[in-house]
Amino acid sequence: MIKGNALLFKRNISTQNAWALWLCQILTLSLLINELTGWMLAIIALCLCWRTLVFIKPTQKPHRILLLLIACSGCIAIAITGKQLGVLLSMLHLLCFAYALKSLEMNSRKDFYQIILLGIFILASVLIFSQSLLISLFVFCLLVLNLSILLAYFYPTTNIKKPLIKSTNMVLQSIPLAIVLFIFFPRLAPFWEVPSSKSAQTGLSESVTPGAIANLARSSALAFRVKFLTDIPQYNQLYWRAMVMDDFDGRTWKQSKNSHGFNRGKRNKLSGDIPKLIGDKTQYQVMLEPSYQHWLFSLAVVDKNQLVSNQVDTLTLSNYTIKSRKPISQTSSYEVTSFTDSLLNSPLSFDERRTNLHIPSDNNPRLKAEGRRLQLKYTDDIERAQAILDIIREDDYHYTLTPPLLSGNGAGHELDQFFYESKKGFCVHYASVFTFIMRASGTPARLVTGYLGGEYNKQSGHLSIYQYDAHAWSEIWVNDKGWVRVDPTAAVDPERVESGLSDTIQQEGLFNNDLLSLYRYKHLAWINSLRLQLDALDYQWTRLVLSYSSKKQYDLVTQWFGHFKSWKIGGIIGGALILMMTIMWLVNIKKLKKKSLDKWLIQYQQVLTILKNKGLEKPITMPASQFSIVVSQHFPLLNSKFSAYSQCFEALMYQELSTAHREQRLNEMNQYHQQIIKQLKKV
Amino acid sequence: MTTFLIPIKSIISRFIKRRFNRWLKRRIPPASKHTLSNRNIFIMPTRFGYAYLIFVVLLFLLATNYQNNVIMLLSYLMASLFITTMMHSFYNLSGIVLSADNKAAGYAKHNISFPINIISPNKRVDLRFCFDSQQPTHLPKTVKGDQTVYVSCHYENRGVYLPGRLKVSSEYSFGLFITWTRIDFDHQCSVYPEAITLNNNQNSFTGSSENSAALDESFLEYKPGTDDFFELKSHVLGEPLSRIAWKQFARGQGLLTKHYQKQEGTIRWLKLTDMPNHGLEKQLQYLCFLVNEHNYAGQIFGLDLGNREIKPAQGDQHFKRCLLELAVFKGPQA
Repeated sequence: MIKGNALLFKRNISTQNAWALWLCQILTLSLLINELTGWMLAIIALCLCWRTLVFIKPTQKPHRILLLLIACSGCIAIAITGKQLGVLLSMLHLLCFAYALKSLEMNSRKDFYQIILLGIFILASVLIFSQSLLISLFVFCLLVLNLSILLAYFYPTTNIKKPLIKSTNMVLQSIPLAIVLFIFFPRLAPFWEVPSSKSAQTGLSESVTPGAIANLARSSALAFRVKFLTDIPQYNQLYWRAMVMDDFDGRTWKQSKNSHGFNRGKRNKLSGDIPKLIGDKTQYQVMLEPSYQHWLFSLAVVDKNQLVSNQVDTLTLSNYTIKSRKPISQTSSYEVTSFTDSLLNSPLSFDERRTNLHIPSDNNPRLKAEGRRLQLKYTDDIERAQAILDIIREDDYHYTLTPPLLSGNGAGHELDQFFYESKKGFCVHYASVFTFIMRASGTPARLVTGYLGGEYNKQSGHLSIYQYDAHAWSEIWVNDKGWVRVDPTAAVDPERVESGLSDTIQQEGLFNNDLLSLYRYKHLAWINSLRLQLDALDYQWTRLVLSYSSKKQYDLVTQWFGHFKSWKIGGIIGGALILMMTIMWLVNIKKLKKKSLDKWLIQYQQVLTILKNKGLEKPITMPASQFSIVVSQHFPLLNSKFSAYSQCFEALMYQELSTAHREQRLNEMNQYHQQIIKQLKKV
Repeated sequence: MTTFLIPIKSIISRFIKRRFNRWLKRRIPPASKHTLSNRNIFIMPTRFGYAYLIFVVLLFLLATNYQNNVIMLLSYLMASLFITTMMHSFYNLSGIVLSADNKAAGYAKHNISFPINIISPNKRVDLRFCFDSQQPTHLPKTVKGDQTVYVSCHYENRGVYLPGRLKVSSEYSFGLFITWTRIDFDHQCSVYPEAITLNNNQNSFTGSSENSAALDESFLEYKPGTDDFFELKSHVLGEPLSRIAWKQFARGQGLLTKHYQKQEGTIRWLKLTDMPNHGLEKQLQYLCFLVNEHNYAGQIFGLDLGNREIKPAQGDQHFKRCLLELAVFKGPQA
C-alpha cells in the first residue's frame, strides 16, 4: 500500500505543479521580508535556488546528511539569536526555515502534505503582523494557490489551470458558511498569554526636542480611523490627545514619571475624581493601526464608563489621556464617548503644580526675562497667553517643516535662538516656546502631543488620521477653568489648524518614506478619488472584520433574534450548515439533470414541434420507429432520412453505446437534423 | 498485560468485521450492475483529514489568543472548506454505474484482470479499484460515457477463488476524505496452475523408468520441425488464430486453417502419472504447460489425472475445461 502511494506520488507531482509550489513558497515568504533577519533570508534564498537546480537536474538533490546538517545548524543559529529576536520572531524564523528546507526533501506524499499545511500556517502568521485588506487578500489568494497545488496532486492533468479554477470554486462555495461562523461562532477570550510582535515603533515619539531635527520627515501612513456616531466636530476642534509632556529639562519635553506610569496610586487615575461631564456628547469608534506603542487617541474629556473595547485593555489617566496596558501590535478598535465642552479641571496637586512650572535655571534667559516682563504686564493668565500669541502672529514668524537646526549658542539656549533669531519652525517649536514663556511667567503650562484634524472620506463617512497630521500644542492652568488648550500654531499658520497642512507646506515636507504612496499624487483628481475609494474599502474591512468583537456579536444576535441564548447560536450554525449542504446537493442534482438533457434530445423535440405545427402530432406512447413510418406516409420526401434519424435517436436513447460509437451516432443525428429541418421548411 | 489483551482485541475486531460484512451484505447485495449513490457510498476523513482538522483548531487557537479576526476568518474558511470537500468527494463517486461479468480466469502467479464497465455521467477523477488484499488499479479520470477498467487479481496458488467485494475508492479533492464503496459482483476467479516448461533434456525426465517409451513418443512431437504441413481446411470457430493461413486470407480465399499431418488421427493422453515426480503441484504445472502446447498445436488430447479424466477433444471449450480441472484437482487419492 505504501509502495503504491509512493508510486502515486511520483506520477502526480508534475513539473508544473512543482514549479507552482516553488512560486507559492517564494510569494508566501516574501510577505515576511520585513520580519525575517538578513541571514535567514539568505538561507531561504539558498534553499529555493537549490530547489531550482533540482528541477533542472533531479540528481542534484542534497544528501540527507547534508540536509540534516543544514537543519541542525539553522536551528542552532535561531536558538542563539533567540534572545534578540524574541519568542514570536524566533518561532517565525523556525517555521520559515523549515518551510524552505522542506522543499528540498519531498520524497513522499506525507512530505507534500506537510509542506502545504506549513505554507498555510505561515500565511496565517503573516496576519499576525498585518491585517490590512491588501495583505489579507494576498493571503487569501495564496491560500487558494496552495489548495490548488494540493488538488492538482489528485487531478489527472499536468496543467495547474484547471485545479486552480476548481479549488477557487470550492473555496468560494465555502465562504458563506465561513461568514456565518465568523458572525455567530462564540468568540472566546485568549486562553493564554502569547508573545506579541515587537516591530519598530511608529507614530509619535515619547519625547520632543525642538530644534533637534531640521527636517520633519512626515509619512502619509495611516495612524488611525474614526467613525463618529454623533455629529463630527469642526476640524479645528479635533485635537486627538495622545501624550501630555510636562517634564522639561531645558531641551527636551517628556512625560513626567507620575503622569504616565500605570499604577502609581489612585491619585493618577480618574477613578478618584470623576470629572464633571457637561454639554453634548460625542460618540465615536477609533480603529487604530498598529503602532507598537501604548498611546490611544481621544478627544477630551473621555467618559471613563463608556469606554469600551475588547481588543485593547484601556486605562484612563488623570491628564485626560487614555492608554493601553499592552503595546498596540495589531489593528484594534475601541469606542469612546467624549464631552468636548467639559472642563479639564480636576484639582492640581502641589507636586503637579511644581512640575508644570519647572524651568531649569540659566535656561533660555531671554525667554525667561520675557516671561517675567509679561507677568508684570498682565495679571490675567488668558490675557498673558493672548499677548504671546499676538507677538507670534504679528512678528515675522514662519511655519515650515524644514526649519534650521538650533545649535543653541551653548547648551540650553535653543528656544531663545528660535524665538529671537531663526523664527522658523513647526508646531513643536511654537508650542515649546509658548509653554516655556507661560511657565516663566508663573502659570502652570504643559505640552500636549497628538494629532490634529483628519481627512473626511465622503464615501464611507469616516475620518482618516495620517501620520502627517501629528501635532503639538499647549495647555495652561487657569484657576477657575482648569487646563485650557492654547495652540500657538494657529497664530502663525491658521490654515494648519483650520483645514490641515497647506499645499506648499506639504511639498516642503518630503514624504520620503513612501515614494509609491498615492498621497504623493494627490493633486491628480482621479488618483485622489481612487485613493479615497481604496481608503473607504480598507475602512469597511477594518470596521466590519477587524473590529468585530463579542460585544458586537451580542448586539447583533439580540437585534436579530432577541435574547442571546446559546441554543440559538447552535441553531443558527447548524441551520447554516444544513442549508449549505442542501444547496450543494440540489445544485449537483440539477447539474446531473442538465447534463442528461443533451443537444440531440432538444433537436428531436424541435423536429416534433415543427411536425406538430404541420398537423402531425406524435402520440406519447408511440415509439419513434413507428412514428417514422407515420411520417413517411405523410411526407414521402422525408422518408429515408426520417427513419434513419429515428434510428439514431433510439440508439442514443436506449442503447448503451461505447464512446466512439456514440460520437458517430451524434454526428449522424446532427447531419440528419439539419437536412430534415431544411426539407420541412420547403414542405 | 498487553499480551493478554492482543487476542481479545483481535477477537473484537474480527467480531466487528463480521458484523459489518453481514450488514454490508444486506445493504449492498450482490448484483451484476451497481449505481453508486448515497445508499452505497461511504465517506471517512483520511489521516490527512484528521491532521487538517487539528490544524484548523490550531489556527483557531492562534486567532483567539491573538484576538486576530483575520486568522479567525481563515480558520473558519478552512473548516467550511472541509464540509465542501466532503460534498465534492461524494459527488465524485455518486452517479457512476458499474457493471461486470462475474467470471474470470488466469494462471497462478500472473495478474488476472476483471474487466469492469463504467458509465460515468460526467468527468470523474482519481478512482481506485481494488479487491481485498490485491494490487489497486488507478484510473486517473473517467470520460463522460462508458469505459472499461481492468482490475487485477494475483494469486500464488491454483484453485477457484472468490475475490470478494470490489472496493472503489477515491481521495479526490485535497485527500481529506476517502470516499469508497464495496460492491459485490459475485466475482469468481478460476486460477490455473502456472505453466512450467517441460523439456526432454531435463535429468529427472530421462531418469524416469517404466514409461520412458511412452514419454519419448509423446515429447518427440513438440520438437520443432517435426510437423509436416498437410492441408488447409476452412476455419472452424474455436481453432487457434495462430494456425490461420493469413496469406490465403489476404488473397481473399477466406479463412483457412493449416492442418498438420502428424496431428491428424493421433490422440494424446496427458497423464499425471507420466509427469516427472516433483510433487503434485509441479506435475500439474507441467500438465498445464502441455495442455497449452497441445491446444496451441491444435492437437486432440485427453487429460488423465488418475481418478479424474477428460475425454480427448479439441477446441476452446475443451481447453478451458482441462485447465479448470487442473485448477481444482484435489490429488490422486481424493
